[in-house]
Amino acid sequence: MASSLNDLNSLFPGESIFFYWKTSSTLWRDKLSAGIKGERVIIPINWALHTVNGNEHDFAQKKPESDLKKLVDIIRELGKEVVFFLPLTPLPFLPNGGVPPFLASYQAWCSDQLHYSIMDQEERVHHFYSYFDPKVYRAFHKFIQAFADYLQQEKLGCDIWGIIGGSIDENGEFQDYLFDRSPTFNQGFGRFLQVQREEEMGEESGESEAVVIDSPGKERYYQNEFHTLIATMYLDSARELLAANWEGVLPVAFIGGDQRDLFSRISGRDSVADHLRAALSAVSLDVLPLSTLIAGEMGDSILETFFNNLVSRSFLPNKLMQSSYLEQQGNIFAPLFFANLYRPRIFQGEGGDNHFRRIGLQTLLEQRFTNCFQQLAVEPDLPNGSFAGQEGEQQERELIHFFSARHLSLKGLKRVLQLFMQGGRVVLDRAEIDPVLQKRLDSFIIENSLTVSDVNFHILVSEVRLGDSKMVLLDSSQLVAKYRDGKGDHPESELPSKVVQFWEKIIATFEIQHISLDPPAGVLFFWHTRSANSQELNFHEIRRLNLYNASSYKRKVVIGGMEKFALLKVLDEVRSELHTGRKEITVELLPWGSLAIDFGLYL
Amino acid sequence: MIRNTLFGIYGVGSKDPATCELTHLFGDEGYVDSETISRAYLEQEGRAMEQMGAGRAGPFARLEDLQRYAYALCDQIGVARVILIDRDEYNQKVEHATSLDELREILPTMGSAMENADHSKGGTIWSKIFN
Repeated sequence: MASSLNDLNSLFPGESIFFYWKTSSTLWRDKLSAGIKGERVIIPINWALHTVNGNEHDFAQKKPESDLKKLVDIIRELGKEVVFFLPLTPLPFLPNGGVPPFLASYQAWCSDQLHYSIMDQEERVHHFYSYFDPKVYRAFHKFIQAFADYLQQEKLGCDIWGIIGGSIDENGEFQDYLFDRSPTFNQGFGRFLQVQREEEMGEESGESEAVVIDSPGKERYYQNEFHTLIATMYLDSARELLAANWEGVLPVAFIGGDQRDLFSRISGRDSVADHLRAALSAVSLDVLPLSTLIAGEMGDSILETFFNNLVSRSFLPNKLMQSSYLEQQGNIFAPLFFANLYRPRIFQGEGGDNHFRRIGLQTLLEQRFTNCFQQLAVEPDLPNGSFAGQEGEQQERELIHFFSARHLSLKGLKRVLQLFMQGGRVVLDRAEIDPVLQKRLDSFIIENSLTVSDVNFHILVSEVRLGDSKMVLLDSSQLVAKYRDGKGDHPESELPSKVVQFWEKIIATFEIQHISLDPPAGVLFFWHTRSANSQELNFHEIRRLNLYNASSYKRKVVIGGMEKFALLKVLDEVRSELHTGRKEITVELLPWGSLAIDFGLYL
Repeated sequence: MIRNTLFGIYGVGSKDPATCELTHLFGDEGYVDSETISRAYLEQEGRAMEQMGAGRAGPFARLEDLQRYAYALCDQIGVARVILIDRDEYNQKVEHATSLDELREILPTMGSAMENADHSKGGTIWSKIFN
């Protein structure tokens, strides 16, 4: 399908995104000056607009709407910054996922082996085509080269972010859109395995095992390797050719963009509450949620308020700015996190390791620190893919970093020890630790003359301290074995309460100050934080609680446990009321109501 | 024709290619919930189904078992028909739909429909009261 002009929904003011191909270039200035409120305008690059056959690329030679220089000049004249989003995967708001029509040959299949089909905000259905087709990669590389030449020729010094598009699946995991299980993927995978085998056979150093797929787990491992290889090829093309403008890679979750959302919309049953939960899951995975697919449902609805507060005013600016700049800008609210859980990978979703859930830690965090922890990859999912929004040093020191040794390489362990030495707070689960890593850890403790205190609390727990730094060492397999009832590993729903209590005590040793909420069904919330300013010297920091009632019932939320906090102000009240008591606050939320409450954390 | 219809997209089992499974079961109320699916599976197969999430059911040893299950579910939920769509056919035909309206037109033309005989016999509430 060829791209066509359609003025509807070309501008998403909340996230400052402008779909330049949807509006006549003669109307760009009017549309942008009327609609964009923030400091920047995000321009997703529409590859298909700029080429018909892959050999010639159009940047204003033929189509006026391909004139990116004119667009950039207009935006700058309006006093805004320009940021290009360059797709490194299919994206759901573009016909064919963004692939030019002449390349839309081989379907991409999701994990259910259905042709990826995603609906946009105008109820148009876009079908994805496989990025594992070598012709697609070659044409992409040519386009990037042409784009780079154009930027240099026109001296357009705009920041470029490589976008890994994806969705949040029903398990709250991020599934990137490059994922494919079509015959095209399988052909490429077969060639990949063949090359692996030839390389293994050709090795001179001793015996090597030929690549043999003898279990589903092993097949998944090699499929992930192949996926990473191809994803890295697209990334490297962009990063190397656009080096002068390149800022990094940004994973983006399109809310409403899961394959299952398509069928929900066919039934007319897509749920606002599910969209909000998906957005919160995205943030917890350090993935930027975007509302462009569901924007048609916004307007007065709770979705618009939610995305403005969670994304436009907070997560998005924090992602695009440098962390050192953020630390200087104390008055910008950032999402509040107390803990990072490090997993082997975040992308691809399928087969994601749920180690921390199996050992009860994630359950406890979801109960006591809802939406206040993140899940990050131990090492970036893509080699050479530096991610946006790495925490500043100060934020890293205040978080609790949870690592599992079974996911650590020597490089990963080095990072753990560096965090500790820089004043960080680390919990390292030594279950299944590689003997080499154990030896390295033991050497580290001896070389630095560190004191280790052991305590028997359900299991042996060791604490290593160095000034403000703290490292807790334990073996979760002992914990699970101790409370196993002879049936094997506990599914999450059967985790003994003692396991969850164990983690509660471990976390309590870090003395986190927090107001824990247990809201009724349908009420969603998240926290933000910022430094106290010069008029707030009584406080260590300011925290903002955003509450949303995503149900059609009236709800009451009781907030207690505020001994260390002061209520400062209430804002953005929509169909809601707050009542203060001696020791608690009661918030009444009418259907689709919301409000925000600022608290000061006393020094 | 999209109303009062349960749709089921199925294909080979994800864990055992010798079996088949339903990956998307949805109707007027959206995806069929896990509890309803699990209960119906237990009633037919005599064993608990591994939790796979809303709208997923399986595995089934034979296609006939899957069809029988889908029909029973259709009756349990109280819809007029169930349309079972093979994954390959879905992939072939869905490409032609470029909008929500087109999808809603194309879906009922895919696969094979099984009418719920009990549902059509039930008739309107008036006929139930006066019969």
